[in-house]
Amino acid sequence: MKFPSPSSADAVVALNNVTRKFGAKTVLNGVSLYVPRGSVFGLVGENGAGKTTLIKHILGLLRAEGGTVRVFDMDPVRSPVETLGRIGYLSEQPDLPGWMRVDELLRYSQAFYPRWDAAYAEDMRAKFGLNPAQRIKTLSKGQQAKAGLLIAQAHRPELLLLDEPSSGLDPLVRRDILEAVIRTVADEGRTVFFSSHLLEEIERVSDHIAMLHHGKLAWCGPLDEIKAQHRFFTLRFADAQATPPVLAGARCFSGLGREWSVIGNGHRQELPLSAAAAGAEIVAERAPSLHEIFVAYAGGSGA
Amino acid sequence: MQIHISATDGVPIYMQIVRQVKQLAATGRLAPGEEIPPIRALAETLVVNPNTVARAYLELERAGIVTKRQGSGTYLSAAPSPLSRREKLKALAERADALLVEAGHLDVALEDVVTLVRERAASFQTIAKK
Amino acid sequence: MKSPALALIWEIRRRGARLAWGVLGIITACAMLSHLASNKTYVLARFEAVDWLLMVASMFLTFGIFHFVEAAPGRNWHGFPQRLFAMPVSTVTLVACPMILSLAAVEVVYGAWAKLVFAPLGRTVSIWPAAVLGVGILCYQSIIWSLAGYRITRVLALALMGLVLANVAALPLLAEISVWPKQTVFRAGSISLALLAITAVATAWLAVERQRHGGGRGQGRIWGLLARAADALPRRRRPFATAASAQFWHDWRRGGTIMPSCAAAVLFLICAPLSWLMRADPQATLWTAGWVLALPFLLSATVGIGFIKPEFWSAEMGITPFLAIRPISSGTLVMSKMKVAAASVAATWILTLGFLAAYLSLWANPKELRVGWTFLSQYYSPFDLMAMMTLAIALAPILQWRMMAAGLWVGLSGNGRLFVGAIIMRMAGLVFLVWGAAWFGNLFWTHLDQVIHHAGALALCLLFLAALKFALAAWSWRSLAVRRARNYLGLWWLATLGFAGFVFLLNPSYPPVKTLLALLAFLIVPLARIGLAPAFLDKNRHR
Repeated sequence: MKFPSPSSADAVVALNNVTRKFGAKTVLNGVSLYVPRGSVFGLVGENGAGKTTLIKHILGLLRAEGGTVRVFDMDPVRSPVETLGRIGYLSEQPDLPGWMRVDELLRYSQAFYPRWDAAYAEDMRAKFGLNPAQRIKTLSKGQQAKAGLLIAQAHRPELLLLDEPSSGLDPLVRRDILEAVIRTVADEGRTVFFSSHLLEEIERVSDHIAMLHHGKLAWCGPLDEIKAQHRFFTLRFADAQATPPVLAGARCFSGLGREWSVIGNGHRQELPLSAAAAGAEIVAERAPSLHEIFVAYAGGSGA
Repeated sequence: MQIHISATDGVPIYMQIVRQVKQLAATGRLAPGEEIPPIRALAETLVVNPNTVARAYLELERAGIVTKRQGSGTYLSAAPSPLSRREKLKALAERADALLVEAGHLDVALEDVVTLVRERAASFQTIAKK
Repeated sequence: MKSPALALIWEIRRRGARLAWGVLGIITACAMLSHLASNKTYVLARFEAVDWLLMVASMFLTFGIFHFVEAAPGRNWHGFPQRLFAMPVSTVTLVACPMILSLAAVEVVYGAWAKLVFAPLGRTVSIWPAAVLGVGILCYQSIIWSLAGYRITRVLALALMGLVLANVAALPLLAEISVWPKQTVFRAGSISLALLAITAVATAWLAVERQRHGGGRGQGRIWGLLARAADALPRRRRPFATAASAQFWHDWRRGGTIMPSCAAAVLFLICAPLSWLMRADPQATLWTAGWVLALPFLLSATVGIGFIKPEFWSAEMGITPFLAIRPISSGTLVMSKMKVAAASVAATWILTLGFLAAYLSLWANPKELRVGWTFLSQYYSPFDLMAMMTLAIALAPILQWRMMAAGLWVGLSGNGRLFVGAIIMRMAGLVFLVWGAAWFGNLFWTHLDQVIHHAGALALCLLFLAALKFALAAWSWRSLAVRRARNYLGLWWLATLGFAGFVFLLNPSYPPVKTLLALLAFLIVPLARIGLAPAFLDKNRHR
C-alpha cells in the first residue's frame, strides 16, 4: 500500500510504527501515517479500532510504547507547550468545565493562546447563539459541542484535531462542525485531522483518508487513490453459495444465493481471473463508495 | 446555482459537480457569461473539501464550460467550447454506448431510442426558452 | 418473573448477594461458637465483646445490602434507580418493596443474633434495639433517596439520624436513671419511633414520586438562585494577562475558596455563638482560642486531601483532557496549585486571626490568658515572648501551606493507589501524633532522659533524612527552570531559618533537644517533593 509523502518536513503529523497496549489488549499495532500540511485527513474505523487512542497520541495524552510520534516535527510528550499551543482539539464528549460561564470559558481559554482572535471568537459565539452568562453544564449537548468547537478554533490552530465530533449531534451542529473544517483548510497551510463514523461526511470533506481495523492500518492515502484502487463488482455464480465465497484479491461483503457483491482491491486483472476460476461471471462493475469499501474491510471476509 | 451532492454512490464528488454544472449550462439554468460562485463559497455551501471544488472547476475550465478571469472570478463561457468536434463526439460515445446497452437489456428498438432522444431535446429547448 | 414486585426483590437479592453471604457467614460462625463451646461462661467472658462488634458489623452490611441507589449518568445525583421509573409499576410498589424487604431483613438478622448467638450463651437481648434498628433502616433509605441531589447534606443527615437513634436505643439505660416512671419513658419512646417510621416512609414515597414525575422546583431552583447570587457578585471582566494567571483563577475557583469558606462557616456559625454564650467562663477562653488556632490546621489536613487531586470534587485521579491539553508546562500547572494553596491559607489565616482578635478584645474573659502569660514570663523575657509570637504567626501559615502543597506530587500523579497510601500514611501519622503527644505528655520527664540519652543516634537519623532530602531535591529539581528553582529555594531558606530561629528562641534547657529540634526544622518545609510534583504530573498528562 502506498503512503502519502513520508518526508517529515511536509507532514504536520508523522506517526512511525506506533504501538500501544492497554494491559493485554493491543490497541495500536505498528501504525505509520503522515498527515500532509494543508490536508483534511479523515480517520475511519469501527468502535474500538483505536481511533481515539491514536488521536491521544498526537495530543501527547498518551505516550507511545513503541515507535515515534512527531507533531510539527516535535515530540508532543517532550514539548507539550509548543505543540499544544498550535493544536485545536474537540473531543466526542467535550469535557469542558461545567462550572464556568460561557464568557469565562472564552476569557480563560484566550489566556493560553497568543494567537487568539477575540473578534472571530465573538462572531462565532453570536452565530452559535451561546449566551455568555450561561453556565456550561446547563448547555445542551449540541451547544456544548459548539462551545468546544469555538475554543478549539478561535486561535486559528495550525492543526485542528477532531475526535468523532459529530457523534450524537443533530444535523445543524454537524454542519457547523464541517463548515469549521472547511474554513480551516481554506485558510492557507492549516490542517485538519478528524475521525468519524459518518463516512459520508468523511467522503465529502477529506482529501486523505486512513482506516484503522483492530489497531492496524487497513489502508491510508489520498481519497482518490483509495477509491481508484478499489472496484465494486457484482458476481453471479453458477450455483447458489451458502457462505460468502472466498476470492483472491477481493473482499466479499454481501450477497445471497447466486449474486454476491465484491470489492476488488489491488490489481484489476486479479479479480476477473479468480472469479472465472470460482465459476462466476462479472455482471456489473463500478466505482465503490467509501461506505462500501469500509464495510468490505470492517465486516467482510476474504484476502 | 443549485447543486446536490450525494456521497452514497461511488461517483467522485468533483465529477458530480462537473456533471451538474454541465447540466445546468445545457438546460440554460446558467446563462452564458454568468458568474459561478467562488471555490470557497461553494465549498462551504456544499460542505465539501475546497480542493474538490477546485478540481471540478479545473475540469470544467479544461472542457471549456467555464473561463477564469484573472482577479475577478469564474464565469460560464459565452463562446462555444473550444473542444474539437471529434473529441466531443468521443466523450459522448461512452454515454451512447451505455444507453444502447440499457436499451438492449430492456428490449427497446433503436428507432424508439432515437425518438426518445429527439423528444428529450425538444423538452430541453422549451425549458431553455423559459 | 411473575410480578414486578418479585422482579424488584430479585434485583435487590442479586445486588446484595455478596453482602448477604457475609452476614450469613458471620452469624453462622458466631452461632457455631456459641453452640459448640463447652464452657459457656468462658466464651461469654472472652468473646462477648467480639460478638457485639461482629453484630454491629453485620448490621452495617445489612444496611449496605439496602443501599438501593444508583448514580444518574452525567448529573450530580445519586438516588433511587431512575431506570425503574420507566417500569409499569406504581411508585408505592417501587418504594415499598425495598423498604419492607429491608425491614424484614434487619429484624431477621437481629433475631438471628439474639436467638442463635446470644441465647445459647445465656444472655437475653432486649427487643427495644430491634425496633430502633427497624426504624433506622426505614429512615436510612428515606434519607438516601430523598436527598439524592445533596450528597454532602445527606451524609450530615445520616450522621444526625445515627446520633438521634443511638440515643433512642439507649433509652433502657436512660429509663433507669430517669426521674419519670419507666413506663412513661418507653411509651413516649415507642410513640416517637412509630411517628418517625411513618414520616420516613411517607417522605420516601413523596420524594420518589416527585423524582419520578418531576416536581418542577427543587434542586435546580436552589442552584439557580445560588448561581444568580454568584453572578451578582463582582467578577473579573478583563482578559487575563498570562496563561498562568488564567490557570490561577481556574484553580482558585475550583479548590482555593473551599478552605476559607469552611473556616468562615465554622468561625461565624459555631465558634462565635458558642464563645458568646460562654463569655463569662474564664476556662472557655483558652479552649476557644486553642480550637480557633487549631482550626486552620484541621482544615488543611482534611481539605488538603481533596486539594492535591487534579479536581477537588471528583474521585477521578486522572487529569481531564481539557486540563491536560492546556499549552502550559506541568511546572506552571503545579506552581498555580501552590500559589492557590498559599492564597487559600492566607485567607483562612486572616479570617482566623481576625476572629481571634475580635474575640479576645471584645467578649473574651481574659483572666486565664493573663495567668498563662505570667507563667511564661517566668521563663522568657517579654521581648522573647513577643518575638516568638510574631514568628509563630508567620510560621503557622507555612506549616499549614505545607499540609496542602507537600502532597501535590501524590495527588497529581494520577495514581490512585499512591493517593490512598498517602492518605493512610497521613491518618496514621495523625493518630500517632495524638497518641504520642498524650503518651509523651504523661511521661514527659521520665522519657526526656531517654531522648537525651539517645540524642546522638536520633540526630544521626535526622541528619541522614536531611541529606536524603537534599539529594532527592537536587535530583528532582534538575529538570526544572533555573529561575523557578532559585526563587523557591530562597523561600525555602527563609522559612527553614524561621523555624530554626523559633527553636533558638524556644531555647529548651537541654542542649541535645535543641539540636534535634533545629535539625527537625530542616525537614519541615518541603523541597524534594515540590520538585517531584511536575514530573509526576507529567506522568499523569502523558500516560
